[in-house]
Amino acid sequence: MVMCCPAGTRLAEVNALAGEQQLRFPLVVDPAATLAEHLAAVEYASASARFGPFVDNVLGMNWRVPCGRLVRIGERVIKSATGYDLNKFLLHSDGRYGNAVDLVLRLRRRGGEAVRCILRGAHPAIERARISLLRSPWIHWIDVVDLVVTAGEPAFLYLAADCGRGDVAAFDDYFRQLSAASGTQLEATEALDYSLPKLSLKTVITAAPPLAGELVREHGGQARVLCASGVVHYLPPRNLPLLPEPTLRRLELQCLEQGGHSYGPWSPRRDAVAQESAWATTLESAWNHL
Amino acid sequence: MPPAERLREVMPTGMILTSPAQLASYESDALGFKRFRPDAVVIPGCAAELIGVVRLLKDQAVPFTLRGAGTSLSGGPVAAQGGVVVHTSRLRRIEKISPTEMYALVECGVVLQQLDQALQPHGLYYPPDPSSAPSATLGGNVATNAGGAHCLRYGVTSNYVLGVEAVLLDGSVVTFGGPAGGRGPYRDDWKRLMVGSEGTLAAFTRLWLRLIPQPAKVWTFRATFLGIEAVSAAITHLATHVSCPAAIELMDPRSVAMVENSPMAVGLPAERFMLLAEIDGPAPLVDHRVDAVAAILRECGSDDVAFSDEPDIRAALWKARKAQGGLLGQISPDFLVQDAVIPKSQLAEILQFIYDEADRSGIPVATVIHAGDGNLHPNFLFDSRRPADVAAVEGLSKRLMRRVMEVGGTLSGEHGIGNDKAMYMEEFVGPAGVAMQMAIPRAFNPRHQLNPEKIFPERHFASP
Repeated sequence: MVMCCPAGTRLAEVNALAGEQQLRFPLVVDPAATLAEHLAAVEYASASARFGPFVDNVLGMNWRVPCGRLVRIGERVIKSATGYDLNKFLLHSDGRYGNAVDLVLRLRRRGGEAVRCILRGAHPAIERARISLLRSPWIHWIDVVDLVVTAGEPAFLYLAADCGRGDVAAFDDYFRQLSAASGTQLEATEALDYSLPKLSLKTVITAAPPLAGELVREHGGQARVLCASGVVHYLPPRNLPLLPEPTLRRLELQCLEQGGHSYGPWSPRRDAVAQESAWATTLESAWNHL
Repeated sequence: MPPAERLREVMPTGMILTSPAQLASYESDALGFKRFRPDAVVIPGCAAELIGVVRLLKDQAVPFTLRGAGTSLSGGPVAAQGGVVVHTSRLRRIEKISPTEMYALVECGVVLQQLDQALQPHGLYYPPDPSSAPSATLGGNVATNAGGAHCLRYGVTSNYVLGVEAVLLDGSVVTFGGPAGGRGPYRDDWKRLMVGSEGTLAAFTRLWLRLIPQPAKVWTFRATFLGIEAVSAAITHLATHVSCPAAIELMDPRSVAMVENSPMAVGLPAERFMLLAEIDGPAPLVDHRVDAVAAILRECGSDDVAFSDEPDIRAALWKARKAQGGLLGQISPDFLVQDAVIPKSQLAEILQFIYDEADRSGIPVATVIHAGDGNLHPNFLFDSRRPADVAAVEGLSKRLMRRVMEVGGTLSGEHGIGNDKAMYMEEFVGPAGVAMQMAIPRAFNPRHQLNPEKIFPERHFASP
């Protein structure tokens, strides 16, 4: 259940090929974007709720180091404790140590059916639903638990599960129960269109929703909270070319305090701290002269 | 002044061991037959003492090795080059369990089972479950990226490490990540290199571990099969089934015979493979999948499928698998367990290869397999007092590893490389891969003072 493909492959192509074997690569933000574009913009996708971040789903790669040499990194099997985990270290290193040329993706079974819904309601009701779901064993089976916060609109919870035909009724029942218990209104929905965010913030689970609310309240646009991962994906309004640097620094600091960070095209440039600079220089000098 | 004497300046009385009788139990890990006696063992009782010990040993220019419970199976936490073993099992405080943020903060010497018990009242779950869970420390689990039977569905240790606090060789205490599981103040994600680094980069003091809700309902299935083709088909069908089994475990007929010829016998038929599978989830989801899973096992050729969601019966179904490891030590003076991972499609071919090679070498072998992810554990039984046995087992291992590489597999799935598999690393990663990998200890531990001669044989400590 693995697929090797060039980093320039679009996710839609990946899943078209995988689908022929009743398989899928679930970590998709924008099907029209390539794997390389995903890796540069995000570390998590909605389906990370169930399958973890990209680093847990990219098993290996052919990696081109800056000197031009191609090196095989990682594995073609789904489990490894062989040597230092360069694969996870390099995957989101933003070109500092080279670039992925080909990737080995871990595929998952395609259930064949999709159950999707939106839960709407007042903020406390949405929070009840979100918290209840995160603490429920159902969380292991639900692909998407996203809080969608859009300027000028009430926030809502978007839930989706890929499942077998025989499971649809169980998911429908659970979503109805969740809605009733939390006091939210349930709506059926098609898949929501997403595009790659300009900014991604990684923090603790409870800090992500307020961070998303703050971003949208102050700057407009849309923020999506990947609730199980503690991640906020921010899509700015069309007329916002960039968030002010102090804002980006402040947002990042809020994440750093919890051992998180910011990521993506708008993430403020971060220089290596003194100690880190020495480690990075050691790696660069070794890897540039292979 | 000898290191042990200097250590007495920073450590309480009784926490430095130097007598031969005391050192004997630190000569090996659970691999057993490769023995290296340390010059001293020091047992810090808190992070501050551990930090003091690391700083002192660094200045003493002696090699030293971190060790948790010593349950490793790869020759990792042993003093391969002499020096000092730093035993971390007294750092066993669970500092925090956060049900709202879904993480635990633990000291490195916390035992996995201790954490599991502490999580029960919160309804939380830390999935990695190596068979040494009753005694293995979480620091050791993180150092080796431990797995276990249920990592097929839930993932291995690296999927659950949010942060690592570590003492580096320059004496600094750093935090990579934290409750949020990101990079913290660093530009790069150094935590990723720490996990699975086998004690060669830093001494871990505390760990932030991600938690998930406990599965609501669990069903265990046990079935036996006459041939490898039939059981391979069952594994393939189960691994792609909508129930996404949490575990698919396989015991070969030789392992089954070993259990059935012991006081732990459970009545399994002779000459058969035994397959265990476990599915879990919310009751409305998992209960209606039970018949489909049983049907797969029957359709693939099993005529004795047993299954249950009752805890006592489930424990009975697991009994043979759980007993297997302990029996190895009773029937053979030594055993060497390999840990390769192969594509599942190669299972039948590699298993036959193991039988053919072991039989040709006159070495008994009993194999258990985390079959869902292709992680093989052939246990070669031998007597290390007989040089011919040792040579035969080493030759067998070498041929197996080479075959594993040829079919696209990897050397270790969950035990780490240690000194047992270090000799295969260059062949596996190639010269450029060695250069890429060796740059990492060069950044953190350039003289290989921490845990020398592990992962790569050229990691040899030379005092300045």
